[in-house]
Amino acid sequence: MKSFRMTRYTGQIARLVAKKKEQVLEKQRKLGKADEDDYGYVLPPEDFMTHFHFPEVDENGSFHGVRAWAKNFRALMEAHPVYVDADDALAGRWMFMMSRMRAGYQLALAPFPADYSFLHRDQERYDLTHGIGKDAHFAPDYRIGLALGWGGLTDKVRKSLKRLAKDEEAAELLQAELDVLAGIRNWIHRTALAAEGEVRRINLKLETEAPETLQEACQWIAWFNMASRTYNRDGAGGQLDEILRPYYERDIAAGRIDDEDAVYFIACLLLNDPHYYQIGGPDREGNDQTSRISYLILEAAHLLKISCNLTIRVHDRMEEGLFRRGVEILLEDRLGYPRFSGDNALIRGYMRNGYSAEQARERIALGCNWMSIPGREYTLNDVVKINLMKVFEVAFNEMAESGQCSLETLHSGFRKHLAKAALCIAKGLDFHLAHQYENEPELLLNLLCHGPIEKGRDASHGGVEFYNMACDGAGIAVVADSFAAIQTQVVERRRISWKECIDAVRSDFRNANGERIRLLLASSPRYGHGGTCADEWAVTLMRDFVESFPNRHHTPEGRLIIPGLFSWADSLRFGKTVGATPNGRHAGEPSSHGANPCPNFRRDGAVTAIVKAVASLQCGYGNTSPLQLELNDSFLNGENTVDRLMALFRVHFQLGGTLINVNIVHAETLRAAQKNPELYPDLIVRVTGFTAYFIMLSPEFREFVCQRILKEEQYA
Amino acid sequence: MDGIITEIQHASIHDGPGIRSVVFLKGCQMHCFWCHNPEAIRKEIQIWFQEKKCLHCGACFSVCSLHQLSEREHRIDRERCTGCGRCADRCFSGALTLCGKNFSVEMAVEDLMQDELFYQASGGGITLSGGEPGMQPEFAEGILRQCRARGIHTALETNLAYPESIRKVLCAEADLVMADLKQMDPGKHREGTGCGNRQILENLRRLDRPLILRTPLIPGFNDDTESIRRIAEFAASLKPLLYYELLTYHPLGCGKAVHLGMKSRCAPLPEIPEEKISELTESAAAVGIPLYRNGKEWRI
Ligand code: SF4
Ligand code: SF4
Repeated sequence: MKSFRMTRYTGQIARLVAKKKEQVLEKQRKLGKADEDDYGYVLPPEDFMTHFHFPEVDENGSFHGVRAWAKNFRALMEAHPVYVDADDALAGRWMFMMSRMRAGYQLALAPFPADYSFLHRDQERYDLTHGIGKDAHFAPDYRIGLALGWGGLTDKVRKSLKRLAKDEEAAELLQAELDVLAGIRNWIHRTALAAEGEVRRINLKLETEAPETLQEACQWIAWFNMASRTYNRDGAGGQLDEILRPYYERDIAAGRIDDEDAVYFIACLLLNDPHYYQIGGPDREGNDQTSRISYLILEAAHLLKISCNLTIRVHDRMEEGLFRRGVEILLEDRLGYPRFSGDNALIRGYMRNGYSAEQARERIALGCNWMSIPGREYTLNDVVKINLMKVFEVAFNEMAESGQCSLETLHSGFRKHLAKAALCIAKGLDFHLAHQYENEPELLLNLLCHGPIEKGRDASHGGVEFYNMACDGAGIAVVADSFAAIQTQVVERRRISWKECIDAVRSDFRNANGERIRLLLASSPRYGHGGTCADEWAVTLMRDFVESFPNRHHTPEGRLIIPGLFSWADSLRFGKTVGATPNGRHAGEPSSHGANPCPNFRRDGAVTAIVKAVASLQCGYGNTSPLQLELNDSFLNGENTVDRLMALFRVHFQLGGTLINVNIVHAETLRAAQKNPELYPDLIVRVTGFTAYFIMLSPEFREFVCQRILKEEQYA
Repeated sequence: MDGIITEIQHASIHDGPGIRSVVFLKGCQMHCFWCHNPEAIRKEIQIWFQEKKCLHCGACFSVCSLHQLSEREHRIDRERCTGCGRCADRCFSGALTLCGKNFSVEMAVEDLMQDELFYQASGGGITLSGGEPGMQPEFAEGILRQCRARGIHTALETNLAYPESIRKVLCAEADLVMADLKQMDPGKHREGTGCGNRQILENLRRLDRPLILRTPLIPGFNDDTESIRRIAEFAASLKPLLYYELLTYHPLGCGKAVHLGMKSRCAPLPEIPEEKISELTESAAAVGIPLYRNGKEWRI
């Protein structure tokens, strides 16, 4: 692509970015820590909550069910402060997250038979993240809304309501959707009136009509994003280049805009909210769909240099230029974007579930670690997890108490408990799908899905085509290293006895000789090194995990479960509930991260070793085991760094890798920021799938991120 | 054929093109006072002791009398140590390990081949370094030859301070030679490295492989424009030269010297000021040859 340079809008963009920084600092001052994505919201006026009240709340201050969500959302939309900025091509900012405004919300208090106490015992025993009552975490198809506009969507709902008036569930849902739409249109209308010129004209039009130009399309997407964020955080995004391409090409052909205008509009969209957007990759037929606008999206992010979640889809028939430009920007901006998905392995994997290649190619990386077909597939990605360390602990303790100690006993115990944990997860998913719509329906995402409006069924209750429930394993490196440490020091070298090992682990290595034993165990082979027993254990455990789900990965009611390895920010939480482990980890220390090895997995920390290790732990059914790479100057100083990084990524994907997140941080800056975060309001780190402002992380989480990055950067 | 290696480092980007693995061979005929890799000077296996990790548990004392605890300090009689490794085997904490390991050519090649895909994808390969690969010529040649036979790009980092016969054997199997030249003045060269430079210059003149000539900038030894200009001029006369590279001094070797009990090498040299480094770079650039500094092309 011919290179792009912005000349006209630099002033606007600089001012918008400066304001954004101010808003981040303001959020930090008012709200303190938030160990998550920036999301793009701004703070409401201080007194807003003193006069705004939800119309439908129960005696606990919470609300549930289709009607209450709709009425409350509509009320919030109709009262929502307007936001316009003369520098911004798009109007609006969001300020509230309803799913977090339910005071005293407890699933158990919901007014429907939400009793899942039959699952409690195993949920607690294995510290399961069961996902019951969780929302969003699947993806909309923006094209539905862009084609119809808010008015067209309203008509569609009305028609459906007429047709399904006698179906009680459908009638209630569709009535609720009308409230939702009315609320959004009210917000848009009021915002339009506060704006001037083109922005005013566009928004008055978009209140009803479908967008026709690129700027209108960006504004429409921004409205959906803001409304959906306000409703329940959502944030999935979509294949942005293909979504915007028709508008861009039409505008260019008509001479309405040039590339600078396009980049400015897109930059405003990215600034509005850091959704997960994809660019490039195969179309339904497998041809590369990279176009001029794919590059312009990258350039827009490059111009902004703020927290951003762009993913470049890498595949066999990839346009080399886009891949290269992505790596260049990753290196130049050092802000953790773009990331890269390995579509060959993802597509191959998904097809193993019985899907066609065409369907598999439509499935994209729409969140931290997650995959979903926009508008067609309900997945609960990233909110269902098994803490493998906890399962190991249960098996380890059971073996210790039985007195029958052997590696085989421990391994078969692990598998037995893993199967119980997996069954409990599977039953929980069925429970969730039976009841969630009565708790919290997906009133926003429904609008942009194929099915819910047509059938009058919530996306969580049969509305969409596919139900492929995600479940991720966490802490696999700790468990693999624990098995390897026992195998090496207790079984093979006989440096310590089973009893010594057990006593030391169960006393958190605080008994006599405990520290010696801990160091001995910690000096054992580790997963990630390559060619060791720990690497073999990791692969065995990954297979155990994949095979642990009942009925060839189906819930009792027949929904598919797709396994992956991921722990997100949960690495801290997962560590807290687990006592010491035989790899020398102390009680309460964080779990290993996703499929990554434990820090210090290898003396030279070779980045090639980690690239191969994570590729060897792909579950293989279309969900990801992301590779989290921390790179520092020692790998990056030199000539042809772009080529080297591309080679590294290519090999990972060639070996079956699915998703790559990269952090490039200057160690000194990070250390300094750890001491004085306020002095670094614009330092951005890639936490996992998402990037975040360092200052917005809690001190504990900052420490965790630093530990990981500073430890791992020395590998490179 | 066996040899001694201090380590095989994967994913290096500083030792030739692309992504590479570097074999550090143990043993060197030079004794440069600034050495970055003091662990590779002696040919023999040595004890690597990280005092900070030591628990004073005494497990090593019980297997070897060369370990002594005196005044709460763990002492090792390194002069008499044979590198048998029994103590390291007993050590719980990882404070004691061995520096140096016997490898057969086949073992080394197998280890290197682990990253074959990365070499292919990046135009990388393997590099022999040290120490001085020329100190174990048959072993080094064996690794180079076997890798090359598998289509892997081979590079040799060497000081060339050995007879022509060794140079011929080694360089024949190297796709790229990265040679060090530290001083043109033979007296100064001997003072700083313990070796004269006659053989080196001779080998360089006759070399017929693509060459990168490098000079580490060492305070008080060659950090004067005269020294650098003379080397650069010599470099300009070498036909196979790809470029000339200056490497700034890094006190990396000092920390390692501590673990090896090499007392004289533990204190870092003073840093050369940035202006001085620029001046030296300019004096090399003035000769008009392609120039690199610390892995990056130098452009005026
Ligand atoms: S390596 Fe052998 S000789 Fe040297 S200190 Fe250890 S046990 Fe003693
Ligand atoms: S065995 Fe290791 S930890 Fe114990 S005294 Fe010797 S060096 Fe120190």
